[in-house]
Amino acid sequence: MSENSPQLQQIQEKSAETPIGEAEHSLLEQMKMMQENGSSSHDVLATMAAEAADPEGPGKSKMKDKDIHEYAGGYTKQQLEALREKTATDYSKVVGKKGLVNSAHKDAQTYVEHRQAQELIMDSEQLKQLVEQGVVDPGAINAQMELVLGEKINADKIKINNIEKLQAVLGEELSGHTEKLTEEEKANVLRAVGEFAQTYQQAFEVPAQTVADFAVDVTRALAYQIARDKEVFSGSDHGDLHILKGVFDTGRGMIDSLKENGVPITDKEEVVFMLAAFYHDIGYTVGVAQAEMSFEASKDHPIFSTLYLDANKEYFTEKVGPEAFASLKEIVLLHSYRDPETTHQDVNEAGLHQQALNEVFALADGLGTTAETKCAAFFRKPEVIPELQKILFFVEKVKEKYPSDDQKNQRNQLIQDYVDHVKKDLIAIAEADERSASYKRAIETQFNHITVKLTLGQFAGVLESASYETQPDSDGNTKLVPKIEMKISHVQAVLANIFGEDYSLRAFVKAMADLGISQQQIEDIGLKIQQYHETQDPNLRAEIQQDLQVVTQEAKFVFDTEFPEDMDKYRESFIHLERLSLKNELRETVDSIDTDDRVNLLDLSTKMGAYLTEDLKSSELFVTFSGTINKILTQNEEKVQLEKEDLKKMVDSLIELQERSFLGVNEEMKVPVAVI
Amino acid sequence: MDQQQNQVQQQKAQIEDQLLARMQKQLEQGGLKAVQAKQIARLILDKLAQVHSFIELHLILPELETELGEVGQAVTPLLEKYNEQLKNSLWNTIESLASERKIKKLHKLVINLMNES
Repeated sequence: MSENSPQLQQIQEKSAETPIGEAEHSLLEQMKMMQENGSSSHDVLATMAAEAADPEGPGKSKMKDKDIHEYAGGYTKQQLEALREKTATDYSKVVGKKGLVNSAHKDAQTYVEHRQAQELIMDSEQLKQLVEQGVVDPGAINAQMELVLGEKINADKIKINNIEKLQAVLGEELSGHTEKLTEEEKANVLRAVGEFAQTYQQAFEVPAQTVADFAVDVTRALAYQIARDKEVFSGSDHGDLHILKGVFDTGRGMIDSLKENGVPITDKEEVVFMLAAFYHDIGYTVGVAQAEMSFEASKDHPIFSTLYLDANKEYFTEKVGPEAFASLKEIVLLHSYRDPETTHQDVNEAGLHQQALNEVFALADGLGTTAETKCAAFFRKPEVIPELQKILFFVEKVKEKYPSDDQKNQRNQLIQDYVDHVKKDLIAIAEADERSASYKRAIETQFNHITVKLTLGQFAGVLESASYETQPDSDGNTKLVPKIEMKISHVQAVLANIFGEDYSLRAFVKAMADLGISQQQIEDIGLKIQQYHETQDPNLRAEIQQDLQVVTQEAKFVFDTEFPEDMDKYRESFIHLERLSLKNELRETVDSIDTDDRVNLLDLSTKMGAYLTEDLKSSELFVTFSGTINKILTQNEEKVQLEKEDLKKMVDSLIELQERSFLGVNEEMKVPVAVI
Repeated sequence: MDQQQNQVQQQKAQIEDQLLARMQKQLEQGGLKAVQAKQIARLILDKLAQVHSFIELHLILPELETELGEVGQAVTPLLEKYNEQLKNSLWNTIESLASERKIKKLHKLVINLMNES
């Protein structure tokens, strides 16, 4: 017996073990009806055969006619490439390097002023020009998505009659993007979209197939953003970490807390919130963020996310209705601004808790300032983190050596040369990654010391939870305020030692500034945590523990003294910096040595041993240093005074040697030798 | 239409009945997608359109059986029935030649058969 025809075998493999869908139900109904009406089998077969006129089936007939180089909305690949090029080159020509948002919000202080500024941008001539001149085209995002991800899975496969079967459909859509997403990213997408689909079905009571179709589109939007995000080094992740682990998870936790506190957020409102989470940063993909020197202009992304929603108004309105669509747009447009006057119980004309939703979203978005939800994937690589430290360390050295304003050009040149030097190492690391093309492009066009500055501070702690709690207000009533729980990591102390408390706490400052907490209050907390870990006195520890919270009219921040376990994996990557942070202690110790102080001498020797890497411990200088200490320990007071001066010089030289070794400085490099 | 052609048409209708019934069962059990069923329907009609005699009908059955996969198995009993009928017919011919002592014809028939196989 011969084998099945290859054509049929292919069809059968594709459909093996797939659930019976609506197309099958409808065909069976049609067949039965014809038979009941007396049609012969031949007639039934002929009717079926007529519908199979196209070998790909009726749903695909349009695709067959479509130019294979044409994507959604009629854009060709060439047009999309030209658009990207035009955005990259012309954006700053039209709006300036500051971008629309930074310019319009220049004098805005209050929430109302920020809101007005956003609304003014949406109605502005400048934005109109950008779109009309084809510099930015948010309507092309769907075509770009198709270009990046390929076509959506076959429509027949989305036809399901049971929501439980959705995961298989989503898994199949994601399996087409193997090269674009890691397994972890896929799992994050599947989980979030699964939760979304369930809530959407509960809220809108639509057939499983409608849910599945929407869920596949959302999955694609997420996959696309995750893939595109890897081409950008804006200092933050805008892929699954920020969108899903950050905004989606944190925000949903806050919504649950609002419900527990008596704010009746409905399933429909949760759907609006989830959609806002999925689409709020899609504006990053229009190409502004990918353009060279575009950091400031990338702040315009909420405008383009909103324009994307507008470009697909009919689609979203069909899915969620006009009121929910209006709510979604408002959240997305205002997602960077929190209203401190939020009244959580208030509803708008459509009966939606718009104020509460806006606040939850802005908080969830703004609180994502630490590495677990913010740090770009490339910068979380253990081999990349030390490279970033080198750059930041180098920048600090340059600033020390060339502090005045008239040395700015010299300073910038030195930094630029060093960053270029490190870039080569980063590119070598990127080349070993599956996403090497995206990473290399981002390193070449977007990487600079500002990116590094924005990134390293993210490792200083983690957001533990965000919720609401009741507080008395000034009128003797109660009100709901956000309660934020955070943990500070080992790395914070290291960063504080080398780059200062201010820098080490910048991730927290960003998260807290909107909630009325001053930088000084945050620095005090940092010092208290340091004290806590330095002391062994249980009473003092208990006292400090009690004091680790800041309560304002607007929010309550609580800090935990325990180091966050999920940050432990990064500690090893900061080991060199931790070593270098001993520098000040070394200098203090050598200064405090008295002529008869044997203890401090031994202490200096131990600390120098901990400070130096193994390769430098065999250096001639270290051998001399150890010999000098031994000599002092056996000599009389007069000679010790002389030796102490030598010892100081040797400590300075060893510090310099260690720092140069860390920075990878050698004689061939034209700059750094002079710096340290 | 002569009687033989009439019988061929009846056989073709019977085959269509059996294949359609199998497709319905497969569709109900989820073993077949609608798009696939429509393509199979077209294949069946294309093949049967070429059949005008019992010999052509008999020839087309193994093709349907293998090319239509699970659905094609609906024609297996018919194929086996035709095979059996031919075997019986041949055996009857051989028996008849032997009993009539037409040994030369018998030998000629057997030799032809053996050369064909």
